[in-house]
Amino acid sequence: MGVNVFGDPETRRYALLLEWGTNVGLLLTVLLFGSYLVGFWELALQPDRVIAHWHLPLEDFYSAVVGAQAATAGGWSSLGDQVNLLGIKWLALCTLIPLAGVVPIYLKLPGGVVFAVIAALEGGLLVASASGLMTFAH
Amino acid sequence: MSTSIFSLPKLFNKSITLLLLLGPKICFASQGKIELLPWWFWPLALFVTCFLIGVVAVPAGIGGGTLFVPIVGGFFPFHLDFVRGTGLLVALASALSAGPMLLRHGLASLRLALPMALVASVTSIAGAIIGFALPVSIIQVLLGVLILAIVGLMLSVKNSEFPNVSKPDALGVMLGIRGVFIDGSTGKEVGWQVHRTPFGILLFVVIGILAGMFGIGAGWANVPALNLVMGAPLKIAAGSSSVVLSMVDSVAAWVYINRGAALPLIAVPSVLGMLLGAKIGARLLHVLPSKTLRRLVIAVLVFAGLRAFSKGLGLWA
Repeated sequence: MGVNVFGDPETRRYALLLEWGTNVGLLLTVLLFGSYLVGFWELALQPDRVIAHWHLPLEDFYSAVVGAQAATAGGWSSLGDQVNLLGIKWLALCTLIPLAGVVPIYLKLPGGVVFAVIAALEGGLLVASASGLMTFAH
Repeated sequence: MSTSIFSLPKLFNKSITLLLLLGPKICFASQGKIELLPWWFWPLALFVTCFLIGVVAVPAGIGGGTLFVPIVGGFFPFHLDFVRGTGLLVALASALSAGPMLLRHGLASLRLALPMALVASVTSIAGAIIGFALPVSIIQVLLGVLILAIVGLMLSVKNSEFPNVSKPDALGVMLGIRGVFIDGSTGKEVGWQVHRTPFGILLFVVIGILAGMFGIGAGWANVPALNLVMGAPLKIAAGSSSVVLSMVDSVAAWVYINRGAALPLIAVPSVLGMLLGAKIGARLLHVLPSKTLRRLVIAVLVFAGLRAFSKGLGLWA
């Protein structure tokens, strides 16, 4: 089990899905940042106000730029602010796809259940972190 | 083709010189003159700086995130919260970009990476939360100490190309952490297995905390842990470290994103500059002497580490 690593179907599937996810994320990032630079979106986080205050701690920054107590306060951001972060958010979430993709393969392998569980736990942790559960649990 | 390759060392030397000169210039520019500069100056300066970091980092065998946080944190006018969040995204993008190729060529092992990534992911969240709870001056001082410790590690640790693992440990055997890869320099198949897996897992507990707290990536720690402690061949350790980073930094990055510490104006030029620079750096890998590279990177790191340390103590505003 696990000897011919680069021939393993789970490794091939993980690599394929990771590559696909990364390329989509990078494309999204470039396109959306391009639209940001040309002023396509109406923004709450105006670039000139951002650069004037980005030396401040997070709470003070959001208070000064958008009048919110924190980025997490909600209600302050526009569609443009949300869209501009989509590419970055995709990149930060795209390992979820290959992790989910290898679980069925591991389940079919003798002794692969441990790795199916590890991959599922890692994916679950990523979803929990992305959902904000980990950020606000302290 | 050959002309462009032979011109790369010149490009590299210029990159290093620019990197050393750019920091203080930007630092000077950022002190009290921010409002005089157009907003687009900063993304452009970040893109150029990260491009240069990318060019330097790959041939020197160090992660871009390790250079990004101390350099950008030390010489750009951003609060450290934004720098750490972006540092994780930069390290993440580099790892995502390299991961598929490394896996396809058998230079990274999922079986080695997955257990370590799970442990480090859990503790990276704790590290990120601790990082937000501590005063920024303490984080700056600790960052300076960490950077100088990384320099110490780079100077003292000699990774082993093919460690001798005569007897794999029970956990490693149970998890089936072993494999075969083709060594590019000899064309021969090399079998490998690991030992001291439980100790390796313990190390990744600490590595995850540091990665989350400082946003610095952790290739500098992953590789010695996988290679020297667990006995994975150097190429497998380096490749698997990239896969570990892609998972750990994803989990930790969300703590920063959800708190609003990822601004497109900082994150996007940094990520794109680093990826582009790393592509050039990968080509330089075969043309430049590694000793020279390491000396230059160590010089940059010592400077940036002292800067972070003294900034945290209020000695160098």
